[in-house]
Amino acid sequence: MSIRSALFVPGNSAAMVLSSPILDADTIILDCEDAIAMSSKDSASLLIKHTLMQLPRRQKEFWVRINPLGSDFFMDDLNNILPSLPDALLIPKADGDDWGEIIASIEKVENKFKLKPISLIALIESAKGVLTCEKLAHHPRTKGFLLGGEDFASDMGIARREDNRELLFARYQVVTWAKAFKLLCLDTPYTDIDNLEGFKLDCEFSASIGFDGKACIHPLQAEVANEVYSVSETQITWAKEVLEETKRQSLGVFSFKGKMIDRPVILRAEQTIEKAKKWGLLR
Amino acid sequence: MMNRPTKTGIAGTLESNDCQVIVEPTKDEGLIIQIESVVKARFGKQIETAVRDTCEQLNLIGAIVSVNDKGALDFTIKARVETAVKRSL
Repeated sequence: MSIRSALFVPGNSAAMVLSSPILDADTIILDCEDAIAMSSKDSASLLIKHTLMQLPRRQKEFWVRINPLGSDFFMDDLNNILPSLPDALLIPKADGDDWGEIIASIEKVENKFKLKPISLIALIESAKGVLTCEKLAHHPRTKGFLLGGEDFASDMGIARREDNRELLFARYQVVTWAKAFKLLCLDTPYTDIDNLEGFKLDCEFSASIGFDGKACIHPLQAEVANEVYSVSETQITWAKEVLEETKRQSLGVFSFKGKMIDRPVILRAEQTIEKAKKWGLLR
Repeated sequence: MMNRPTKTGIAGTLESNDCQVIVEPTKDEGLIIQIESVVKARFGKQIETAVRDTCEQLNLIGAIVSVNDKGALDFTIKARVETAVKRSL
């Protein structure tokens, strides 16, 4: 699973759900939770169900953010949405203590409809969630993390800052646990949708510490995220050259263009080529 | 088990690409489907089939189902009908 941009789309908006397959995001997250009024929860869940049952979705992944365990809508969401085969479920308010109970509920519905196990992405958006990442990462059903900065800040009783400095510990903790267990890790949404420059800087920082991609709340953000979390032409050229030189050399470590090349560098070059292949950037 | 509405159930919107569905109880056991659509001349039959199929899957009887369509696709119509029916029970 490799995703640069995951765009939230309100699950109850027929027009937005309908246009989502053509938007420039690697993944669409159809939302049953925060974007939906209490009075429309049933309606969103059923629109997502019928959409996923009929919409062609070969070009990109479709995830669904369901309502949290303990809400009145959690089981209805599972029963409506799991049989329509989304590519993953995004589980809000995830923490290590509740994860087992959430997965037991999901498995009950999967067994009822005889479904294959679905990929699960933990939405980490509380202090407890950040501190219990280890438990979430250890579980074999967990396929990735998404950090939710807004709810995390509310849980911490702190204000959001322009530079997201208040998220530093949470970001490092979440991304490090994800990487340790080879999980996908997506960064928190950037809520100032008019500030694409600030969004780009935020993406660049999160990419620099290991996040694979970004949760987006506007299609224009997805275009920027795809660019930042992608690999550049310069990186691809460097990776190709390193791998060609590696074939020519029979040494564990050698010098290339004045730089030391050893196993970790070769691995990075291989990862760059893998990503370039996945996103169709190889010529 | 058959489902008969006990109250009016409404779902959907009058926005573009959506439809509004109203399900109301009647005294007899039949199903009356009323469709208003900007594309009724061309797609009226298809819309009615989507509505009727969904009502039958939900075992609905004794209802008037009114659809005001604003260019909704098949799956949106089915979702709005299912929501309105469930809200009417």
